[in-house]
Amino acid sequence: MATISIEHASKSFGSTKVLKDISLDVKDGEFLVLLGASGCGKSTLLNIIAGLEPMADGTIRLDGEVVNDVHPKNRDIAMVFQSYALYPNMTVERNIAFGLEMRKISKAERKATVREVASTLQIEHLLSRKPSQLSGGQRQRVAMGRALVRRPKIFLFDEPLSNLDAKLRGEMRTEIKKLHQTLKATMVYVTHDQIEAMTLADRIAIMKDGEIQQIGTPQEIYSKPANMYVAGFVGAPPMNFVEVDLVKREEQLGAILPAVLKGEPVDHFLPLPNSKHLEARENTKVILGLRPEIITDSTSTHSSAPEIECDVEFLEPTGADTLCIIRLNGHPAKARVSPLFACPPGESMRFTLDTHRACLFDPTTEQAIT
Amino acid sequence: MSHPQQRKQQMSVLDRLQRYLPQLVVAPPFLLLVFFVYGFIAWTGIISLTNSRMLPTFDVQGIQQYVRLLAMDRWNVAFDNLLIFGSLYILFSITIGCVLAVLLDQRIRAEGALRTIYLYPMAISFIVTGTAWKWILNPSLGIESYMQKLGWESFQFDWIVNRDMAIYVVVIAAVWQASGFVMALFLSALRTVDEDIIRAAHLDGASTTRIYFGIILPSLRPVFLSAFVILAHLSIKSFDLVVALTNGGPGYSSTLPANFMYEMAFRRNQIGLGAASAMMMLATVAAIIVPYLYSELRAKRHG
Repeated sequence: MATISIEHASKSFGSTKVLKDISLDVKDGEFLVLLGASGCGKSTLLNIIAGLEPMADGTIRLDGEVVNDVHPKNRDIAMVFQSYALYPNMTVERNIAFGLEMRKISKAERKATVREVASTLQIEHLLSRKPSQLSGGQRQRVAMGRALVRRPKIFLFDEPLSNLDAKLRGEMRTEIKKLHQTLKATMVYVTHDQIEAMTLADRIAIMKDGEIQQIGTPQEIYSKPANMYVAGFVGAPPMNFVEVDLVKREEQLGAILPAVLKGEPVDHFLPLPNSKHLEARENTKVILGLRPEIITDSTSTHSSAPEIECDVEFLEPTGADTLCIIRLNGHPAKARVSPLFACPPGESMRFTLDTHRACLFDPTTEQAIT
Repeated sequence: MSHPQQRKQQMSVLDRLQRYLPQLVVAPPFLLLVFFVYGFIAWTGIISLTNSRMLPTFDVQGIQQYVRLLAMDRWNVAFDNLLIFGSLYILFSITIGCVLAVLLDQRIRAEGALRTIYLYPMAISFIVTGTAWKWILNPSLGIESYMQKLGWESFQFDWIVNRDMAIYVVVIAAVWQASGFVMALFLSALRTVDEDIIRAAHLDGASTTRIYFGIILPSLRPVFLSAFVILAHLSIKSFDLVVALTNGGPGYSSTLPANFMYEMAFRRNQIGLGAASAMMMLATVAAIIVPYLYSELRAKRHG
């Protein structure tokens, strides 16, 4: 059992508030990812869980017990750092064993545990080396080994993969995921990489300016973003935002979407399904959020979804899909189409808009309209 | 017709000048260095093999000056003093400097001011340090008389006039001067240590003392080495501090080899003997510096 519960945590460095009244619960065995741009307070929050930084205000409970004043070493927590933070003067073996050594575990037992961890991480052949003789990926594994060897209740990861190259990062991501499934330990993982967050997390907490913007499963975060920041942060390429007018035509509420066809502006009427809650906003402006895959080629779908025809300015082939850059209400937007049906740049093609999956945001508060 | 040709020639002169400019600029200092440092080392080496007295002669006689030197009590005292002074000076300067650096590294208030205070002695010349400490340690002026006036009648601190202890007085003054510098060296190195390492060690359950002695200080090995080399050569060439502080006394109990050399070469008309002692000092410095340079250069080639 290992749960983390943070209530009303706040913290400031000088006059800048890095954490503003954060409350967060992590369930036993859960993999929670704290996602956000640099400076959003996610690493500070992690350090507070570890006990490496004091909180100005608030309580933190591990397994229901308040640990505000408990020393990091007594919290039964292990942490993997972005810089790996290996002890430069010790061999890999001592690096991994150091935590056990400090906990007065006998030499023989230490040796056996280190061997076991080293074999799961496939670093047995490195045990007698010094950190300076290792590559980035190997250091990363040693840092993981140092965390694993103590069998802590809670694992904390502070951007552990951001110093690795893309290929290694992918491999280590899979291994961390595998590790989580075998250990079933509670893990909190800090990253600025939304792909890491989406692939690893049971739940994601998106932070900005010391506040949690939204917390939910990767799918919830992706398809029902709470506000425009979350919508724009998660997903690559990011969601298209178009400012539109809400109007009623033939008893159906919909959005007026200005597009461009053969160089001429054309207004399309997009009927919005399930629009009961939007009645009050008739004849006002809202922000329509369309993920690129919502705007797709008409040829590959056979739905009754509304279609628009418009000019394609550029193409960005990504292999599996091709991104068409079109112009919606004067701003470039990306549509994700099959490479088979993408028209050459400069010509026009028909797109289907899956309005069921579109998001709507309030233009002033930037919050999702629900 | 001749004009362009002339111009071409001029250009080539300029080109050549440009090509050889670095050599031209570096050559005079290089020659001066070779002559005044290495030339005079060689000259001293030759003189040490003659029986020069007031004026140098050049009839090489062999190693008799060295034999004389090693038989002299004055030289042996000076050399023993160097061993005592050098080892204590290096040991205490590094220990105190290191402890000060660790304490200052705790993100304390007014760190900048404190750092300057500790570093300041280094800016004072050895003559001033020596004179000041001579007054402080003088039994009838300094600490001893002060403590006695306070009422501690039996207080004694007369090392500076004590034959057996005078060299330790030199150690005290020299350590006072150098430990701030060592502290600055260590402090700058401590600041480069990755803070995450300290955090990781905290999580691993290590105490702060353990973190410093088990992880951080061992990783500062290169700094220890540079501090050692700097202090070692400072201690071997120490001269003015002794002159100002004890003037080698009482008797010759606190002389160092540099003072011996000066005494012989410039006051007692024993240039040959002075040169021999200078060569002995050179050998001592070389014994420390050469392995250091060797290991440094080797590391660079491998790295």
